[in-house]
Amino acid sequence: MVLKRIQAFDLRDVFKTERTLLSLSGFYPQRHQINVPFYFTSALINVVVSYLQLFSMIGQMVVDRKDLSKLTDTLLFFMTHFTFLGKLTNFGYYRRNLLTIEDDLCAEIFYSFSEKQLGIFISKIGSCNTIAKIFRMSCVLCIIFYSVLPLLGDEKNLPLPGWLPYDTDTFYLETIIFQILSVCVSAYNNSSIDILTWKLIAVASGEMEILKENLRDLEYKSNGDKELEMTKETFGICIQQHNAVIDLVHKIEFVFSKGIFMQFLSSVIIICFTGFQLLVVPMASIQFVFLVMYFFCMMCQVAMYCWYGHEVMTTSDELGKFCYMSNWYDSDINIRKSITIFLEKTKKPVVLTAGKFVTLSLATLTSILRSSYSYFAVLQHLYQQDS
Amino acid sequence: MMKFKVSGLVADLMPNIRLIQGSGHFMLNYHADNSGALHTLRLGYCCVTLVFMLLQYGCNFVNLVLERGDVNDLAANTITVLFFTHCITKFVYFAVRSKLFYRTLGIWNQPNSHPLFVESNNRYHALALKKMRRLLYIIIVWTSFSAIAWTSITFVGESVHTTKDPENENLTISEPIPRLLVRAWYPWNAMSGMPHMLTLIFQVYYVFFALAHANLLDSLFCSWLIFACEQLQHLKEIMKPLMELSATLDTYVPKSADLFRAPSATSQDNLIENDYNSKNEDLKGVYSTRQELGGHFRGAALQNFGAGGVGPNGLTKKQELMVRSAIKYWVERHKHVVRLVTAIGDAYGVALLLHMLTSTIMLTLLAYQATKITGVDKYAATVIGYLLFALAQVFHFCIFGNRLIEESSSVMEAAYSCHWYDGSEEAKTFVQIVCQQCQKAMSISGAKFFTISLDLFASVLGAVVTYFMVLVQLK
Repeated sequence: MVLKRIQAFDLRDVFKTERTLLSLSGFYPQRHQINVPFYFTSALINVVVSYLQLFSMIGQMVVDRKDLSKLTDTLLFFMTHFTFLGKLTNFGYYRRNLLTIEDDLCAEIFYSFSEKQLGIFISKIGSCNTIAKIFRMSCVLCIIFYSVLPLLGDEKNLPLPGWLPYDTDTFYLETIIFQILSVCVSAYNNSSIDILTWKLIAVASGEMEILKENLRDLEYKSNGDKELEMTKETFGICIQQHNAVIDLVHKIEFVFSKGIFMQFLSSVIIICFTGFQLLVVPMASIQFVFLVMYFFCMMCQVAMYCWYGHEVMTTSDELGKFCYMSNWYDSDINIRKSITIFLEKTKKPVVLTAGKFVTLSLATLTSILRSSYSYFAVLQHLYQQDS
Repeated sequence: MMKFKVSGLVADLMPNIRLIQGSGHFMLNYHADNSGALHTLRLGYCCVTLVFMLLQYGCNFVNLVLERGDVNDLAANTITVLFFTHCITKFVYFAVRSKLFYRTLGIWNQPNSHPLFVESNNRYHALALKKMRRLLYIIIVWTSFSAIAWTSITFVGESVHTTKDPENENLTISEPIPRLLVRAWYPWNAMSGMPHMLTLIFQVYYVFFALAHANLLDSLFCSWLIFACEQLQHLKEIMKPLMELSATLDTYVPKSADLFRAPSATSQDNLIENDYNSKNEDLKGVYSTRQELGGHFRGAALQNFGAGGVGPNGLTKKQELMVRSAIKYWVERHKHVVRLVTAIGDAYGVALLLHMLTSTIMLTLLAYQATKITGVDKYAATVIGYLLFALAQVFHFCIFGNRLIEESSSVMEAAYSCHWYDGSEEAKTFVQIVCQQCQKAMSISGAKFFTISLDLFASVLGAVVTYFMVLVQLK
């Protein structure tokens, strides 16, 4: 079997959109030093706005520390914002590694698939794109609802809870613009980083699917030395592909792992508090709809990390089975010994971890939801005691 | 029109398939005559069954909503609704995913065969057939018995329910309700006479068919697992003769007698120098090869091959090919079994997940109901009946799932227990790869959330007992 190289598809195009978006906000590393002042200013604006918002929310929480329902309201947005800043800091710190990942994705070893396999790969990435679109859409809807909220009330309510050192009534319009801007910045960067991570993980699992098919379709029967050499070479290419994919997954984990860990920790609290707010807020109001959308966004975020991590784990688990499904019994003794060593390696699945502490899988998602629910029950009990 | 020929799993499971078709499931293949009119007729029968099931289920649900005031009634009605939810789920699930079921049934249509192993194959096939039939009889008897027991218990005791006394809010009175199998709301008065008779007959039909829907699908799943397990048994059995055969296939086999013959003076075959150890300063006086291995030591005895088309031990090229083909048969058969088990998991995994979800909630409520048992009466009998039925359903598929796990992981033991050390290099690498593959047992998972095994059943049973104990204490 000859492994063909496809020129028409560039793996780096998978996350082209996110790369552009993050470059615009100044956080994506640039190879060539052009337009440096633009990127620098953009990044500076983003960071300053976010940190100002963070401090104002901390102020609000200190003021409100006795009232449980107001505190949870602030805490909700504070946790989201804090996580976002954590992820952004992590991304900024490790951003040089993204260029290394991009270079790796250009390697020839990742392009050893046939037309049919390319179709499967593209459909896989396509489903990731659909999910990314839905996620972005719901984020945009959240922002719209969130901006509309205060304008509908009679009093001069602020969209986000936050303490500001001046009288908010006099500078009402400016404050609203500032808060909406901060939310936009947060949602824009947060969603882009998340979607970038999901797409990279999807590329890795897509490559593993291709490797599985290559292993299964490998023809081991050889009549003569020349064919034997070719089979050995093909098998060697498969091993190289396996190593390259494992390397890619490790690199992705190195860049994003700490951010994902922060995301998981705070998702427990955020989901719990959003659920609690849904109880407190009256049902037939814009705020309720906004909270439902927000809940959906938060769930989607953590669920997608777990889903794609789980996919990589299950796909790598099946490598051994697919290698077994070929006609290996027709192979020469030398290749058989190589197959044995390969099967030993595939016994251990490739997992993505969050901060080396917890693996990304559906089991983690279940335990996050379970902890959220138990905190929610406690909070509800406390609330009932209070009132 | 294609001549209808049954083969493979479809032929073995024909009684199951006919019963499933008879109970109204949407299984429209596997008929000899599939012309337009008959096909429409069968489709119509299935749709009518579906409509009846959904109507009665709707009546149950309306009754649940109407009687939600009283806690006891609410619990009892919820249990009934959940019980029939899972029957409806299985029915709808099959209708929606019938392609996967057809694919699984069609996987074993062309199994490979080898002249050396035909006898073993047929023996295990017959064994699988026997077990599948036995399972089917047990299921039929169990379903009929449950339906009859349910009908008979309807006629025991009073047919009443308690409601608030319209005159005094604090008191409750008993109000007569229609004597039916399942409490349901009907738009007509079913208290007595002809409407009561007809409603009773409809309910008997409903209960029997609902139980049949759920149990027949479960027994189809378990029959598949029985078949897979018997195939694995067959593979384990032929491992030993295969190894012995392949021991004759090799390029280098020392004649064991030579290794232990006393060395002759003219022998040229010593590959290790007799005085190697005495020459080596470190080993002098510590280790002497000749002393250790005794006078029979001969080193590596090389074999002189005879020229011509006969290999070592007198095997012809044709016999060598036969052994290679035997190994190929074994591996291809094993791969076929793996494909079958994967297809079973794809077809039925989600149904098992839904079953477990419904059963968990239902068993929790049943534990609560069980705490209210005061004596040996109709209430106790119905609660215990529900409990036993639900647990038996879970046990039914857990035990076969567990057997699959055990069988597939014991293939490695069979590979190890045969005389692999006598085998050729090719045979040994074959055993190595097979052992590696079989270390991970084949199992059916409920859509990747849990594995079907006796552990699952034990945890379900343990949970029910725990809830019961806790609730009894709280009373």
